[in-house]
Amino acid sequence: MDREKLEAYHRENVRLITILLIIWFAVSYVGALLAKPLSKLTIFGFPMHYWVSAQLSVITFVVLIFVYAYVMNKLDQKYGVEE
Amino acid sequence: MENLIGYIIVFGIVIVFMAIAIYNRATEAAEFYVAGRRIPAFWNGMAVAADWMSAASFISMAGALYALGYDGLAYIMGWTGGYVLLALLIAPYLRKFGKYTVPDFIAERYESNFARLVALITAIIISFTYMVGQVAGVGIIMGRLFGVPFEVGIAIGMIIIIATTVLGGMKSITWTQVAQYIVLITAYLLPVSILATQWFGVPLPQFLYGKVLQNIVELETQYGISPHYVEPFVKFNLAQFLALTFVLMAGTAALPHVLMRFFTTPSVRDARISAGWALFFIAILYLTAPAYAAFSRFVILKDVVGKPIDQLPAWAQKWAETGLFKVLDKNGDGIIQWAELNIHRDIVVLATPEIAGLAAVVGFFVMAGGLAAALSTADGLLLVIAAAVSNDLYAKMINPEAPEKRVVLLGKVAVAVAGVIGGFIAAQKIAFIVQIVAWAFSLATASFFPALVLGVFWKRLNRQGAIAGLVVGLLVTIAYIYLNKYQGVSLWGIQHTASGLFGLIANLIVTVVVTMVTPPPSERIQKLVEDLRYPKKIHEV
Repeated sequence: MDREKLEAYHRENVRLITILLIIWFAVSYVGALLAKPLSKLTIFGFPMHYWVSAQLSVITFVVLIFVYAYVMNKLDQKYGVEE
Repeated sequence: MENLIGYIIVFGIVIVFMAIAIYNRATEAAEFYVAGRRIPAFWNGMAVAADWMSAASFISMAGALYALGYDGLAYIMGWTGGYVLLALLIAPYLRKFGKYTVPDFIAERYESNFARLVALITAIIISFTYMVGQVAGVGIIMGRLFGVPFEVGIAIGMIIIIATTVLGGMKSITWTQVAQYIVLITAYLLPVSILATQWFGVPLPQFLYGKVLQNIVELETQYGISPHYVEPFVKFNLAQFLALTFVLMAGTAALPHVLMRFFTTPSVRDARISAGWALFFIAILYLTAPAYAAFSRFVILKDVVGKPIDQLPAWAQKWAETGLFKVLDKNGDGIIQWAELNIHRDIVVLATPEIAGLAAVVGFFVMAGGLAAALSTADGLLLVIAAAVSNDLYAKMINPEAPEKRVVLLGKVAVAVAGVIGGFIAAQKIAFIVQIVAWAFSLATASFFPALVLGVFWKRLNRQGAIAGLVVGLLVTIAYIYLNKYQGVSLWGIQHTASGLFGLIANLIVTVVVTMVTPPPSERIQKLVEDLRYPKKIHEV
């Protein structure tokens, strides 16, 4: 197989992982760091800090995994590395 | 009559589990360890969810949230966010590697049977203690259901768990776990959804408890209760909250019984999607648990606190008889104060059917859900132990020439032996076991997590670096646990439950330094690592 193409695939994978993990970090850790100021606000009837940590984070995690699976499965075909 | 219907429901459900296991018997190694790698992504996701959600998740987590308020969300985020790490950094690559177990990967990647030995001992310690916790959970639930002694409950539970796992290993537990997930999630959602319908007219407690949180704050203000339920960083300081969240995440991503399930999908593509389904099914319960906690907190503030002690609501009177709900009128004024209540964690889930005024049958069904949660997790753990003994220790280290049939037979014997020992230990009610379960995530964070992630993404990483890191990581974690728990030492207020953070940092430093001063791994290993990154076969290794 074409060496450059393989390396490009791996670079794209690492880039995608980095982007998704930044979002993962933002909804969980940054959300918790901002808990005190966010607790003054309300969203959907929830104190905002509670909503961010109890719901936004968990729902985002599920979406991130499906996005990763979807994009990678496309990428496999683009680079011809699917099983 | 009500009780009779309840018993029939529980027996019926257990019989269905057993029938599924009997139908999916297996004798070949690939079937026994990885279900022939034929489990579709969706169903594997459901089985992972059942495997993952333990008796504690089902019965005690909502109660922990009730007690910890906002700070308890570290558990919600930690036990779900770990799946992102698992899905992006570990599971697809392990699936590509193939083979059967996590120690298989560690041994081959680091060309070392010593690494295999460390990995399999760590896997057995983590899985065994975790399993003892599940078995104890079965004993408690059986006791509450049928009034049998704790030990008898454990014996019955152990027979069911061993039978399910012995019959067909991964093949039989997979389909049993699918059925167990359906039972446990229905049982979990039913009472709280009915309660939400009674209060708001919509059966979606997950999205409606925001208003209840506000009501809680109002009532707490009225009674002068402080700090409030939703106040952040009361039980944990910020450092402990963040450290605990991280350790739970990294530990979740690296626990062997969850990872092993990803060997069962037909392809890398399926492994990726399967992780998404797994977290989807887990999230349904984890989004609901805070609603349970908020509803209970509200009911107790509204119907119990500030009321005369001789006018407890009917559900509270019933649970007071079991000793799980205690009121002590300390100041003798005949009125119940918040500080005079002593509520067992498990009551938050178990009492909800009665709070909603549902028939006793629903209470039995909730217990059956807790039973399904405990059984399904114990099955998966028992299989890790069996695979570690028969595949890693015997077939790969002691007798590589052993015929497949004998290896699988040894696996089945290991299931029975580990199960019986686990039952006996659970019957002793050793408090130390519960402690070790809490440390399992730290141990996995400091050992398996870096060994797996760096093993995939850092080609230059060699045997010397990985083994040194693994050993130092485990030692630092154990040392911090000892210093914090028994000597009161603490850095930034981080507690022993998050000790894995220090173990991980030590592991990473040692791994990098030792790797850089020693030669790179062999050509073959570098090719193996490259090959992991592509679903298609790139190199013959």
